[in-house]
Amino acid sequence: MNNNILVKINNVSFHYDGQLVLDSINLEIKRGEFLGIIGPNGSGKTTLLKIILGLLKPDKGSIQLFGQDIKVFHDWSKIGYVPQKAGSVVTHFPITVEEVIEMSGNKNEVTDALTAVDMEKHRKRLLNELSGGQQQRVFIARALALHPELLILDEPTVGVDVDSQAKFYQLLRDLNTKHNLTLVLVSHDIDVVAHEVNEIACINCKLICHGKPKDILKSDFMEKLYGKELRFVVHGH
Amino acid sequence: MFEIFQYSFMIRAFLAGIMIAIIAPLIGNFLVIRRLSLIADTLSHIALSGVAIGLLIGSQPLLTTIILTTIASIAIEKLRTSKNIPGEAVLAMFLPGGLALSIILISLAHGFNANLFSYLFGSITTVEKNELWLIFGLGMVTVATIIILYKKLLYASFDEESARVSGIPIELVNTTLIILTAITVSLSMRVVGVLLIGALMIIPVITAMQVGKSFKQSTYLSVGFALISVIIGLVLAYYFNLPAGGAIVLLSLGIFGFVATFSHTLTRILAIRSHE
Repeated sequence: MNNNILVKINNVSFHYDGQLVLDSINLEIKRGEFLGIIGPNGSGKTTLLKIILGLLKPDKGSIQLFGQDIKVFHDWSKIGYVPQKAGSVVTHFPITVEEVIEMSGNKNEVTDALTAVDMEKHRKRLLNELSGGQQQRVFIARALALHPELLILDEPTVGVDVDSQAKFYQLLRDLNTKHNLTLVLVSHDIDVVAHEVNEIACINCKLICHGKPKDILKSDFMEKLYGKELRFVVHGH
Repeated sequence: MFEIFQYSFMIRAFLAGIMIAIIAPLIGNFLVIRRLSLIADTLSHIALSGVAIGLLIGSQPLLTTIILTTIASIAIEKLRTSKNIPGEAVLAMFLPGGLALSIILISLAHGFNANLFSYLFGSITTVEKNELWLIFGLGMVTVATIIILYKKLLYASFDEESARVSGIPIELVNTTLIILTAITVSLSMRVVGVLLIGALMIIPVITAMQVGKSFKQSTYLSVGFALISVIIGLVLAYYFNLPAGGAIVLLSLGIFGFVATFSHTLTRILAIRSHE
C-alpha cells in the first residue's frame, strides 16, 4: 500500500439522468499536493468531488481513499470538506463561530482550529455578522478541527471580495507548505489556479490534462478544455 | 391565589404543560434551522386521524396518535430523501391528506363529539394519570435523545452535506428527529390541541431567535418563553375561564411581540450577562 497516494480514482464514470457527466476518469492525488481542478461550467468538477467524498456513487470504476476501497473506508476524519455554498451561508438563526467549529470536533480543538485561520478573536461572534471571506475561514476551521490529512474545497471564493481572496489563498498556501496538508481545490478561476496550486487537473467530462501549471496552461490544452483559444498573460501580484 | 394547586387535575395540567413546554421548543429549534416549521402542522393534521382511529376502536387516542404520526413522519422523510421531492412539497401533500383521512374516520365514528373537540382545541385539565405518565416517560426519552445527539442533530440540520462527509449517519439522525417531532406533536395535543401544536413548537423559538446570542442561548430562551406561556396561560385559563390552549398560544404571541419590539435592549442585557 503506497501511503503517498491519498486518493486513487480508477476509471470512474458517472451519469446524471442518462447524460454522461464523467467519462473514464483516472487520477491520483498524492500527499503534499496542492491540486487545482479546473474546467468549464457543467464539466463534472463538483460531481467528481462528491464521488471522492462518498456523496455520489460512480456508475463505473472505483475510488480508493488512503489505500482502502471507499466502500469500506470509515476514517472520514482524515478528509476535511469545505462545500461550495459555505461563503454564502444565510443563517436565519443565531449561531456563533465557536458553535460551528464544535459541530465537527470537540471543544479542545476549537482554539487551535480558529488560530490556524486567524479567527480566534471572532469566536463568540454570530456567523451572520461576518463577511463572506470570514465565514469561509470559519468553515475551513471546522474542517481543520478534526486534523484531516486531506482538505477538499469546492469553489471556495465564490462571493468573496478580492482582498479577502488574496488572504484566503495565503492561508491555503501556509496550510499546504507549513502544515503539509494536501489540498484539492475546485475552481473556475484559471488565474487563481495558475498562481496558487502546484498540480492541475483539467476536467471536461474526461480528464483532459494533468500536471504542473507551467506545462498545462498552454493554449492547446486550454482550447481542448474550454473549446476556445485562450491566451495567458502571466503577471505578478 | 394558590387555591389553583389544591385541585389534582390542575396539578396534572401543570405537570403535563411543563413537560410539553420543555420538549416542544427543543424540537422546534431544529425544525426552524431546517426550514421545516410547517411539519408540526402537517403531523398535527395526521394526529387528528390518530385520534379518530383511537375513538373509533375504543383505544387510548394518545397511543394511536403516536403510532400513526410516527409512521407518517417516517414516510415523509423517506419521500423527501428518496424521491428528491422538496420538503415543503411533501408536507403540502401530507397535510391535506391527513385532514382528509381524519374527516372520513370521524364520519365513521359518527361525527364530532366532545371528546374530539378536546383533542382539536386541547383539554389540559382533563389529562388523566396514565396519560401524564406517558407524557412524562416519552418526554424524558425525547430530552435525553436530544442531549445525546445534540451535536449530530445540529450539524445535520445546519449543513447536511458536510455532516454526511464527516461520517454522521444522516438518515438515522434525520429519522430520529422526525420521530421525536411526531411524538412531541402527539403529546402536545392535550395541552394546546391539534390545531395549535405548531404554535407551541415554533413561536417560542422564533421569539428566542430575536435576542439569542448563540444557538445554545436561543434554545434555553425558547424553553423559558414556552414555560412562561404555559404556566401563566394555565393560570389565566383557570381564573378567567378561558380555553387553556388559546390562552397559552396568545400569550406566546404576546411575548414575541414584546421581545421583537424591545429586541435591541434585551439583546444588550443578554450580551452583558453572558460577558459577566
